[in-house]
Amino acid sequence: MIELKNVHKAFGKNTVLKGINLKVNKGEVVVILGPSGSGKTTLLRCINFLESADDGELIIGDTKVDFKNATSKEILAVRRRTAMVFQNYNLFNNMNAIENVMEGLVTGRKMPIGRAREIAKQALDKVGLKDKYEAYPLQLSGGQQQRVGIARAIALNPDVILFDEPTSALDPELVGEVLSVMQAVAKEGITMIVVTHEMSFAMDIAQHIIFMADGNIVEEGSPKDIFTNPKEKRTKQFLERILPRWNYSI
Amino acid sequence: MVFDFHYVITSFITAVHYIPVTLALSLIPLFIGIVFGTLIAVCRKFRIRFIAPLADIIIPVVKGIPLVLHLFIMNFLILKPFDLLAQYYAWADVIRFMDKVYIAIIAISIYAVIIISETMRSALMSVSEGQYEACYSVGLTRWQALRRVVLPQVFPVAIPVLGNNLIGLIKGSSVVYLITVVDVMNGALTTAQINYRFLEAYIAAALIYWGICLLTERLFAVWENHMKKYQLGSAKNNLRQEVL
Repeated sequence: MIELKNVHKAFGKNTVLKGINLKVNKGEVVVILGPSGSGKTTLLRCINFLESADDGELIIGDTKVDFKNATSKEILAVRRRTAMVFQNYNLFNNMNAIENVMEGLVTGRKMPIGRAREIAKQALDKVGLKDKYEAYPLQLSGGQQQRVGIARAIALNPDVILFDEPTSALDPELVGEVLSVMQAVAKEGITMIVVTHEMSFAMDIAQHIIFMADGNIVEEGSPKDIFTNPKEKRTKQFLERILPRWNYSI
Repeated sequence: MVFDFHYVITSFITAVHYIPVTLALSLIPLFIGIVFGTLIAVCRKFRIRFIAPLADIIIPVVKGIPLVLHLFIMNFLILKPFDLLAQYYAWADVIRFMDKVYIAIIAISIYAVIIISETMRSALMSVSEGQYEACYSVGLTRWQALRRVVLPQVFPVAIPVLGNNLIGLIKGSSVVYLITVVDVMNGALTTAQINYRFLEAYIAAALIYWGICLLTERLFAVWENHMKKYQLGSAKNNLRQEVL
């Protein structure tokens, strides 16, 4: 279980997060929606301390961390319980696919190489890259790179995987292969927090949808509630722009 | 005096014996420069306390001083205390005579550390922030990220520039004749001091420096290609990501 309490973050004078409270249950798939600049990505990056929030509290499993005065030891502990999939993949360019997946296990968690290799192979098989163990990022397509990115995350067996717009950098034909891998991961019961603009994915996979705007959570609820019966004006506005032909009265 | 190629050869043969000195005066500083220059560049990248602000002040100062002046200043800075020590402990004259090469090596090394720290800093900048973030996201520490992911990508980028740095050091080391160290330059001049054939001596020295630099350039080109072949990704891949 992950809980965020009263998270604040500002870049200089620009306040990005204005007191976010969020609770994610174990095995839940949460999708964060919202216009650009609403703070979705910043919120996600605060969870694993890639961005340091100014104020607030993070509870992950039995660990409780205060954002204001988190020690580097606590930060490392949180990072070893989470994993992230990035918008532009960020695979380690100097390593091939299997080494990319093994790195966090071998160097980060001091796992023996033999066992790490087994886990890495399983993870790569899961994302459908059985024949690409030795391929370098340069030799893979965008969709394949992102699937290695997902394999790298699931191999760590984290408490939660954070997806930061995983399909935004892909061309439309490759989006499908990444989404179907994410769907398979979700079915395994891994906790996921996903920032995305893929509405159909959000509708199909999410158990809980959070709509953010201007650094606040405007509305949250089940996909059915949010998509068919949004209560807030801001949510309606956003959905109308993104889903112009959506029929609200089913 | 008419130009006589015979004297070029005499001078050349004498000077060739001092190639090891010139190589020591450039390769040792290169090695020290790579080790400490990388360290300084990393400290500046992560804004390490005390070291980074200190480097910010010292590097522009040393970079703005010609190597000759740097050598002279170091000569006096090191020689004075050393002489006092030697007098105090009554060291043999041999040691006092030999120390000039060491002074030259120390002076050129400091110069190399500064120059190469700038090379490594620009090479470090070629690795995208995303590579660090990916490391942190899988639970690596900053040091592990550097060692496992960032530095292996930095060196292939730095190699061509390091080659140029080395050539600069080889040519720059020729100023050590001013503090009476006998390297290729000074070796070539020893014959001219007897027969007054200075032009011939200079040409002989120039030929040797040219040869060494040519060889260095070739070697670095081969190394660069080797790295390109076996280090897939790196700079090329960053470019690709930016395009996408």
